[in-house]
Amino acid sequence: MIERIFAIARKEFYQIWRDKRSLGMLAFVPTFTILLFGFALSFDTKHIKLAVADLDQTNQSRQFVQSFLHSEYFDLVTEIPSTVVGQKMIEAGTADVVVVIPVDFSKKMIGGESVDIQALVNGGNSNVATTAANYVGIFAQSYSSLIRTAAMQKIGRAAYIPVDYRPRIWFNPELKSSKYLVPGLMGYVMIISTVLSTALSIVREKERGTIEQMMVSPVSSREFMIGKTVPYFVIACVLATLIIMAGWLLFDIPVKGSIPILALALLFFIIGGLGMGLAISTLASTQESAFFLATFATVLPTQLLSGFIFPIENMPVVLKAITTIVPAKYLLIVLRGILLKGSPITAYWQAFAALVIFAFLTMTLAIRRLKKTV
Amino acid sequence: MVNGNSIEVSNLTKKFGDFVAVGDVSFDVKEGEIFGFLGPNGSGKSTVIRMLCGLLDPTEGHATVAGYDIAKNPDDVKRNIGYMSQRFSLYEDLTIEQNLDFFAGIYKIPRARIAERKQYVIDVANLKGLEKRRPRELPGGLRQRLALATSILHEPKIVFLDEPTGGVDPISRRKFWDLIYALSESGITVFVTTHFLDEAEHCNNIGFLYFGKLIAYGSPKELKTKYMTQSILEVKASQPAEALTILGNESGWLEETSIFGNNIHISVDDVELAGRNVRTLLASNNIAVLGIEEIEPSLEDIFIHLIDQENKKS
Repeated sequence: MIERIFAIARKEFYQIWRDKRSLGMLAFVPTFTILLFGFALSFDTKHIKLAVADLDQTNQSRQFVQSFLHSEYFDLVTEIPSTVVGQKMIEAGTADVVVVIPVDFSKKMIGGESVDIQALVNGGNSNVATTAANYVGIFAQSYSSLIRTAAMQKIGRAAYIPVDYRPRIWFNPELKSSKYLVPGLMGYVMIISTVLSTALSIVREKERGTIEQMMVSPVSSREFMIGKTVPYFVIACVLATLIIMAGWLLFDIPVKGSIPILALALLFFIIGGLGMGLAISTLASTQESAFFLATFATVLPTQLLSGFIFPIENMPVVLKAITTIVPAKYLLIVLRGILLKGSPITAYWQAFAALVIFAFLTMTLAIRRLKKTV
Repeated sequence: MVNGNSIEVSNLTKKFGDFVAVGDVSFDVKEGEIFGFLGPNGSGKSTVIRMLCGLLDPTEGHATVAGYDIAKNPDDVKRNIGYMSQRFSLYEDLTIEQNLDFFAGIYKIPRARIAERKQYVIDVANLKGLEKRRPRELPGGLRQRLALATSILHEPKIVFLDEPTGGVDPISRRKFWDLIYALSESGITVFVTTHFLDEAEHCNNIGFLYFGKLIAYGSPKELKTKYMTQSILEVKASQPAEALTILGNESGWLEETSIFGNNIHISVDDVELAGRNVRTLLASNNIAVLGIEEIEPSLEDIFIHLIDQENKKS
């Protein structure tokens, strides 16, 4: 049995090696996706284009404006003379936020009265708008408490701020979206590559007619299945290791939790993906339909419903229900738990169990269907 | 082997729902024999082969191949047979040597024998020096030889060839059949399906399958004497097409008419009467008769006759 499996696996390796185009795709697409999502795409809002209408032009007003510009969050585009000019800039897209400082800013400040600042925000991109508006609020508040502290010290009272709000972001202090995205990417990349490559490999043999020679030989369907999937199993394991290392080296994503459990979770996920690919191969008779089925079953569900980009908690009930059958969802829970949080298995054991069930279910389905068709 | 028979088939039947693909077929193939299996497309030839190779379970009846029952011990059957499919089924993206290594592994050829068997296949297929090439680089005739040689890599006692010479030039076909004779002489049973009736003449025994029924079975010589009670007249006429139509409309004194190139073959009971009728008929239609002679029936004549009889029955 081993001999036959070895012969089949070796042949598969030769064929994978020989098919340079697919090999390139297999290696290139994950790399490209990760680099793209990790570095280029980000939900972080920085370098917001700010235009300021400082109608007061005093030391205090200039100090206020400077407090906005000391960070990466706002970039000063230009100073403008009026609100109207500011509105035009937002409409033209040359500014995202316009802050208008009234002419009596410093007078009211010195006199101990509260001042109203106006901020105009471009609502076109609601993500950016919300964040920008919040940032303006935060900067204004922090300047405000600074003034208040100084004022209190002048009259000899200790600084007293009613609610001292200091958020501490765990697991991802800088709120880097890459740390949020890269674990999800792992699941995305791996489910697609395992399912697609296995499905196509078997259907290719069907299409070319070489599978008939297999059926007429004493090879059992079990030996065939194992031999065909072993190479893709090996490749997936290598891929997973590389991605974790890339996550650590390039994106500062550590492995805080248990490595053995991580390895096991990935193992079950890979086996489940291979089983899915095998099952799909029994449904398709051409490479095109295999490609279509495999992509349909993995790309969209994983992209939209695994919690990779869009949080599952925010989804309507119906979609939440559908996410129970998206395997990448469970891997993501385990990955985020082990990589970012360092949680013990008690925190995510249900997700882990789901992965085991996934592997078991798809493999059983694949074996049963293969016996009938091969 | 059972009684010196490589293959024994009795009452083999395969139904797909109500459709009878193979109906009550029985025949035997002796060890070392070349058995030709003929019939039009859709007659059930592939279905019979698939059953004999252990790929399909029969609905009724049974068969033994290499002494093993096809339904009870399909894996033993598979171990002892070679198979060459109609489609070229070696891996085009591997070298010839890699292909052979693969099949050697699949059939678990003992390591000590692998090199020897690989060499045998290369020699027999005339591919010395080409081991590192890929099958797609070979011309058609060589590809078929390679496929045949690969099917006997594991030294099976029986080899099934499904239309092995399709699309191959006549000289390569000849060489291919020389190879088949050599196999047969070394004791390997060759079960071959073909559409070429001249190839059927080379076989020791023939079976003719017509829509699930075995309507002829025997050696080429037997078939010609057993099934043909009539004589064949070959008529050469100046306008063959018209002559064919005219003769085709006749009945009573002739059975079948068919055209072979420019010559018309008619099957008749009374040669003298037929000869006279032909001359009169064609003359009255202003068609010159260039020659009439009695010929030995070819296999094709026989099959056409048999098919005609079958059609008349239904």
